[in-house]
Amino acid sequence: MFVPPENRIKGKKVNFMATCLCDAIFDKAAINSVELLKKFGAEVEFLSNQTCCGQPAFNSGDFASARAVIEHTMKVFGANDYPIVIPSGSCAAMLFHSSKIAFRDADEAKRKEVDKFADRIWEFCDYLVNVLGVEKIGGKFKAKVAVHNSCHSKGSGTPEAMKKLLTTIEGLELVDFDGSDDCCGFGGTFSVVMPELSAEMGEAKVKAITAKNPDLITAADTSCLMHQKGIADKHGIKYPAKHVAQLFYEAMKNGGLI
Amino acid sequence: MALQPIDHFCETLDPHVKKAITAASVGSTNAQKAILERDYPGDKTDHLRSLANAIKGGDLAGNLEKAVASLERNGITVLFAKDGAEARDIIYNIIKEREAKNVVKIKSMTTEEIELNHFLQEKGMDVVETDLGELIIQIENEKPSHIVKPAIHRTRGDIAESFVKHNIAEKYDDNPNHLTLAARKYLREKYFAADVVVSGANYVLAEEGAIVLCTNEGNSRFSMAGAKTHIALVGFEKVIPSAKELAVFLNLLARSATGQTSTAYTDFVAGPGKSKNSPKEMFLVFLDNGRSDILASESAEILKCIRCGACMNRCPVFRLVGGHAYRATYPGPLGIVLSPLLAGDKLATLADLPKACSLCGACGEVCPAKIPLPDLILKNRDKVKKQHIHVPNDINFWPFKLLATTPWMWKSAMAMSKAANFLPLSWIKFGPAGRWFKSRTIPRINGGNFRNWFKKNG
Repeated sequence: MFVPPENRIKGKKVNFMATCLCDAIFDKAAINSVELLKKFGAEVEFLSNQTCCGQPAFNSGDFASARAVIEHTMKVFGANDYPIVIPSGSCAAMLFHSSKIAFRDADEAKRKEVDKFADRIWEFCDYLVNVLGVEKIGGKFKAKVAVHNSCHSKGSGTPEAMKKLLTTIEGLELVDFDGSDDCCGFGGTFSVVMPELSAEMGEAKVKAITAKNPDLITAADTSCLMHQKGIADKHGIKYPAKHVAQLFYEAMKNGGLI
Repeated sequence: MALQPIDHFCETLDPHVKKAITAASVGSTNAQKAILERDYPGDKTDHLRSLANAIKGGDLAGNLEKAVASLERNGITVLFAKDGAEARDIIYNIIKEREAKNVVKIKSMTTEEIELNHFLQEKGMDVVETDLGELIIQIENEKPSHIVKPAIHRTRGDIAESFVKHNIAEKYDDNPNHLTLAARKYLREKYFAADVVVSGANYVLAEEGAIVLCTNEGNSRFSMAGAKTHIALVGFEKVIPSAKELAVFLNLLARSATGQTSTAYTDFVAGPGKSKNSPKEMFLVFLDNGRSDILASESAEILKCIRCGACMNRCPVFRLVGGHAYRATYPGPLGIVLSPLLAGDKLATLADLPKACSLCGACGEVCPAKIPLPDLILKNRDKVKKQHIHVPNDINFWPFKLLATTPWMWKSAMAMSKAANFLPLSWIKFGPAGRWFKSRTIPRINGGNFRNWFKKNG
């Protein structure tokens, strides 16, 4: 369980960290996240030299490469001292927890820098509820929705925040499914280092979710959804999946709130 | 397509065995969760886990010193073995000096770690496992596939066949009660014939100078009633300060292992000759076998493990492969931390183990000793990489590192990535991409779209 630091920096002026997956593939999740942040009163900056959190290298044990990428990220976001909002529980956990392991043998000054950086990291839903104080998304979204809580967000405020906001949407019905606490098998590079295990875990997840016939599957991480949908596609199973920011945005749009 | 050994094991494992392993593991996790929620609701479980972590994190060297004095005071001969070979020799010599031949064993993973049974059998001794699960695998010359439930991979049909083959049962009968009765009858003779009993220990109490054995079948008491000599092989990390602290562990162990409030039998052995039928002499061999190095390393917390097996029950990888996939005494999350560490300078032979993890963190959530298993797994990956040990399917990250630290390159790569939409990517059959496309598709690439949008609307 990756638990964020206790007294993280709050504030309405924020940096948005898009993540490599939103940069390359899930542009809509990033766009809708920024639109919602602004709608709920945040002032959003996007520092364009940002790249990635370094997680692919870190999870593979290449801590030296991961440190180089984290160093770059800290340098880019050193342009200001605002909180950093990320539309991914996993990338957030990388920067508030795992970065400390990557730099555990560094000198004290560096470790302090990494700790200080960790204090600025927020996952999108966690930030909406626990910093901006958003109580309600509202709007309408008539659908049965299955929520996948990504493993790396479990120790943070994300699952509770996401659920709280989803239940304020008219017409939205949350559906439970078996093994909702289980990993879907993506695990970043795990999916290509251990492809058989990963696929089998993914198939079990897709099966458990589709057994409940949801209209939509949502999560605070595009990565898990990409893996699940990729597996479902390969089996010819319909698997409508969207990042939770897209769902929030559509609900507000349907309700004429945006 | 080259696969990692554990991945290959998953691909080729008999579906029935896989199903049995998954069902047993999921059942154990659910049982642990239910009984802890019932008996220690709210934050009480977490409090207990924190206590266990703190006690195991205490002054181990001091407790060990105290334990030796107390154990000797109680008439127990204490010996130290620096590695498996030394421990095997010590145990063999004790048995040989007594001109003994018949050895009964009480389930012990530490004796599995040093492969004691084969060693003694090669020296002509009759060594019999008296725990039912251990007996089932011993007669088939297998290793445990789980640290608590060693025969988790075998169905009752397999066992019934095996019992006939090895003359434990007369005819095929897969009724679990009948199988147990057949084993009991077979073992009864062995208890009567036993000269020496070899056990491990769940705990060593430093203050009282006693070992604690937690079992479910009564086999430990039968074993000790028959044998004249008791030898316990114990990893030195099993020492805890006193019976007071033991309460914390007894409350956690059975609940975490099997979903029981406590094991059916909790034996306190505080020296030889304490009752009419107990062994007349007792030896305790403290095993190092790499533990001192682990204790001095950044992974020392793995020595807090109480061997309940909750982490493997909960692990999505273990649930699909079982313990044999790990090629080492300790499987699952515990194993992918501990086994490569115990391997010492043979780390390369088990260097793939830490990769058998999606980093989901579930093991850390259920560990009763609150060991940060995911962090320790990552540290092992770092260790493997630092020693430049090649692991199949490893990815070279220099292109990633270059891109992710050079913004102009990153941005151009993002802008150009859309071209991939026009390429038949799914035809790739090799490398990481090939391994992805074998079981999955990828969505449309929209590289740079968000950046363009933000420039206009941000």
